[in-house]
Amino acid sequence: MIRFFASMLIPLWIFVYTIQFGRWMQKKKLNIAAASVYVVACLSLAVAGAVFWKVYL
Amino acid sequence: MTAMLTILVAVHSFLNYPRIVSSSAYEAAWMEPVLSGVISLVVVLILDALFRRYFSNMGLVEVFRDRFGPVVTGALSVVIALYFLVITATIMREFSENVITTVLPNTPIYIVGGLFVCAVVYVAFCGLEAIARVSFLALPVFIVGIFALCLFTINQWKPVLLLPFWGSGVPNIVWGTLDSTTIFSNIIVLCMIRIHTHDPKEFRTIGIKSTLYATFILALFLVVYHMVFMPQEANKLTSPMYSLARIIHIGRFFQRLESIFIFMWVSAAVVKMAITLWCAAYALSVGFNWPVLRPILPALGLLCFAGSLLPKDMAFVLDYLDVIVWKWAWLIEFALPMVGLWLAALLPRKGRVV
Repeated sequence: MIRFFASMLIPLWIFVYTIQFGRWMQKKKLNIAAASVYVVACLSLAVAGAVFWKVYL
Repeated sequence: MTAMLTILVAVHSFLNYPRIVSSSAYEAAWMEPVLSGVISLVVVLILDALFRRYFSNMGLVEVFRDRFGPVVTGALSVVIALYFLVITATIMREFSENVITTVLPNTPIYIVGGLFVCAVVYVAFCGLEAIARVSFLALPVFIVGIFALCLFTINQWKPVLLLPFWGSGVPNIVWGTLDSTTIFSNIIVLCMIRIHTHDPKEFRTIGIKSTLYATFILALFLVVYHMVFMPQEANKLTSPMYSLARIIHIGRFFQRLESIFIFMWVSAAVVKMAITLWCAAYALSVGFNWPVLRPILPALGLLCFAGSLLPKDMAFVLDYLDVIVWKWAWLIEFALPMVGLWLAALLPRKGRVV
């Protein structure tokens, strides 16, 4: 379990970074662009989580 | 640009392509890239005519946005981006598996894949110009490497292995060609980056040159490959370049040179994946009106890396994923740009062009 959480640190950092990008676009009133970025961020975190879950648990 | 697009296609000589064409055409495998090249040249000329006549200063996704409106453009951008992401993930898995089965057998695949994705995201992050300049520097090394690989095996050549001339027969060659023409992904990439070229009118020159160079490299490699390995053996080799490099034996001091070629192999793979990753990000950025695309590259890289590890084993990737992607990718690589541009030409302007 510890190895799983340790492996998820980088995907989590990328998730936060991408969400920040989405928020920046939301501030610029680009709502559809921001929503698409949120979807990509969630998808990448979910797929990475599924793969590391399969590898470590 | 020509160098970048040549590497994009020619890098398939290191991957599953020789195995697939060998299994369909046997001794005549070298004919398949030649026929695929001819088909690709025809597609380039048709697209060039459409671009020149109707959309002289736009790329493919810009045309979609200009004529189809934001909803359809968003959907088409997602389809194009998914295609590039699947290609990147598949190639990442193939290269990672090849690396761990040949040179790093004790290294976990996610370490190899992780290093690959870091390099790919970094190169893509530097932008299209950087990828094109790296490709310009890498192409001579790549060509010299391929020629050296072919010539160093000269004492193993058995030209008689290229006979019978028509291999498994003309119908099998034609069907095999139709199935594998989609390795010429330079066409859709060129359609997308057209607006970023020095002069969009160079579309035809870049498309024709890159297709011809790549066809020549692939055909040359396959001729030599089939003069060294029998088709029955070639059908089973998953890393053709490594197999060819391993049998180099020219006296005491020139043998087992595969470590030199692996450097070239990995560099070309990084360039290829950087282009496809950048194109995925670019399609999404234009489709959804993102002001910049760089911040999304780490997330897309992570998605490719994780996606590449989803298939349970290499056999699944080689026998199913690769074959299915190649069989149907023509819909996105050839049909989508041609039909899309033709339909767009019939419609009035809708959106805004940046």
